[in-house]
Amino acid sequence: MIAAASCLILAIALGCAAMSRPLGCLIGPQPRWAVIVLMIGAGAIFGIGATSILFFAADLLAPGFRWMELVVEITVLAWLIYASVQRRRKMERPDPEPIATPAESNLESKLPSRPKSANPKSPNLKSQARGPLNLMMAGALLVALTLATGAMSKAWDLNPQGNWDAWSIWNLRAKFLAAPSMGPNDAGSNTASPATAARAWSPLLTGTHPEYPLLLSGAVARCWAFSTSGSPMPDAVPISIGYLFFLSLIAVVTGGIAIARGSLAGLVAGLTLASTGALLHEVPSQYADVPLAAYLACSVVFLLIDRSIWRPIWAGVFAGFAAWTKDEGALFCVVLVILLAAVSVRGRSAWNHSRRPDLLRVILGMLPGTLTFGLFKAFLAPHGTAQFSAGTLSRFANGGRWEVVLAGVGSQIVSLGAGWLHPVFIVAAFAIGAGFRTDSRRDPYFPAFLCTALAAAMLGAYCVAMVTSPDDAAWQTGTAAGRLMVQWWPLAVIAMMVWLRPAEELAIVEPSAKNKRP
Amino acid sequence: MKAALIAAAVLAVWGAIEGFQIESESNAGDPYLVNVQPARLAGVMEAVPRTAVVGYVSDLQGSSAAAQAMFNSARYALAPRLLVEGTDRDWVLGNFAKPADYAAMAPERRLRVVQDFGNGVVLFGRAK
Repeated sequence: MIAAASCLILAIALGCAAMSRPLGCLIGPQPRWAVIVLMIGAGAIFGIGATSILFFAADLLAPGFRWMELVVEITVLAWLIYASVQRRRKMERPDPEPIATPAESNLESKLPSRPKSANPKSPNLKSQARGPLNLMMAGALLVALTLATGAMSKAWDLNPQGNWDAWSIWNLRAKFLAAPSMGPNDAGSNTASPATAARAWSPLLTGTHPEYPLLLSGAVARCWAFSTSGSPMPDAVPISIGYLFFLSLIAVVTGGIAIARGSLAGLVAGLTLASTGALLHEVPSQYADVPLAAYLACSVVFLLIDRSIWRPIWAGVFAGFAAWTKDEGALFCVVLVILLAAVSVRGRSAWNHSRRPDLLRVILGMLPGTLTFGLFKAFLAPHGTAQFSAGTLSRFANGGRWEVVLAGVGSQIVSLGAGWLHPVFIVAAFAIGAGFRTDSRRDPYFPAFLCTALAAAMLGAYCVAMVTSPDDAAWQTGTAAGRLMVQWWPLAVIAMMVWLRPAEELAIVEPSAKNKRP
Repeated sequence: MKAALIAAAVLAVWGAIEGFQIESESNAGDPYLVNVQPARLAGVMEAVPRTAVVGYVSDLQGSSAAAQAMFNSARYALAPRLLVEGTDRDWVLGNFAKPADYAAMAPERRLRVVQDFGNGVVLFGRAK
């Protein structure tokens, strides 16, 4: 158990160390707590995803040498820590005026509202005046998370192996990946027997989708592989990983929105997710939907807080990891690229800001995840989905299927909350107080349009996928729509929050309004 | 603004309390009996090498939820052994919901009983 926890901590440490470079520079201009929360949330899911891919690739390329993977991880962590310390030392030294590269200065000049720590009207200083409110909202978030954890702990006790898909798909395949590697003649079966890991995508795995991507299974398998020499494999590993993804999702959305739209908006966004009953219900299931939701949200957050040439790459990295988590993640990558390409074509005239460099960087960032996904689908698990089988067009044109799917999706969106309290009321309460943004020159609409378009396009794409699925529409909607909405809901919350005015702006507006009174 | 934030916080905590209550009341403990399978199949796990591909036979047939649950929970417990439908394997797991004369049913499937572990669990081998 200690070895499994150490593996998980190593992955998180690796991710947090990697995040310190792109996010560390925000400490100062932005609220320190928000940057740290985002760094830990994004770092945890990056570390878990990156080590999962490394584990999978290492097992394929060098079976029997698993310790090599640990050596690589520890070496990279040491190097990241060393580089971070060196960078801090360098920053402490008095530096001559920095010379920006032409590409960087060009992009920076176009990006709106670069945080300036020296600006006395910057949001971080304003937010200090709202300290008690920040504390109240943070306290409410902690209470909501504690209650959520309490509810989950009962489910973990009663059902430690999760729900159906956990033990029939995700953790089953983790067991195959975690088993010690064998040679081709080692399997003792009467069929051609590849290494045990290959059983995770074997066509013999009938009814359990061996073509599904393997990020979650790989992450669980990595901890199992380094912690046990055989069975039993501790249930605490998939439970902990599922819970970590949930906490990371809350952290990423809270920290990201706090950086982009102010501390209070971030805390409201976190509260909205932490009190979403459907999301909390999915965590103890140990399915891949919450991890996918975390990657999708993180990708959007990195697009939203875009202030440097590196962060679009990170947005792509998280989108790529989403693809290696579930097929819906690949759909997100396609939607994201199409949207950024469309913006790139319309370019300066539409947004007064060229996003072409962003598109290329996002695609570059996607490569680790999407390449793993593509190679896996092409060479290891080509017995793929029947989504595009004969009859796809006729199913797409079938009005009855659309009716069933739209009714099912609508019903799932309405029942996202616990009881009759829908989490959208929390955003609505905040919107009544803060109001909608109005000044597009000082606070450009582009990020808000992008987030909204992404959320809307994903919702549409999910509906199309269910309508064109070869399965019965009612069955498909009944079994999948709820989980798809859990993936989508964080994107919707982000999209709603970016249209609202930062609450901190009111601290400036209110006194000046008072002064005008006779 | 202050009132709006207080309302948001109250609504969120309320939602979390409702969620806590609903989750606490609705959690059914292990409906498919997945937790008991490792103990139930312990004998098979000791007898069959971890590398084997194991066939499967049961008195619950077809795509019913009960049959699928029984097969998939056994598959999960036995992994990394690969459990597959059919009897054309060196090792075959018999996973039965009701008691039966396993020795009598084995020859018609070209199997022999290797060991009856009780509780509906039988390990078959290929008949020579």
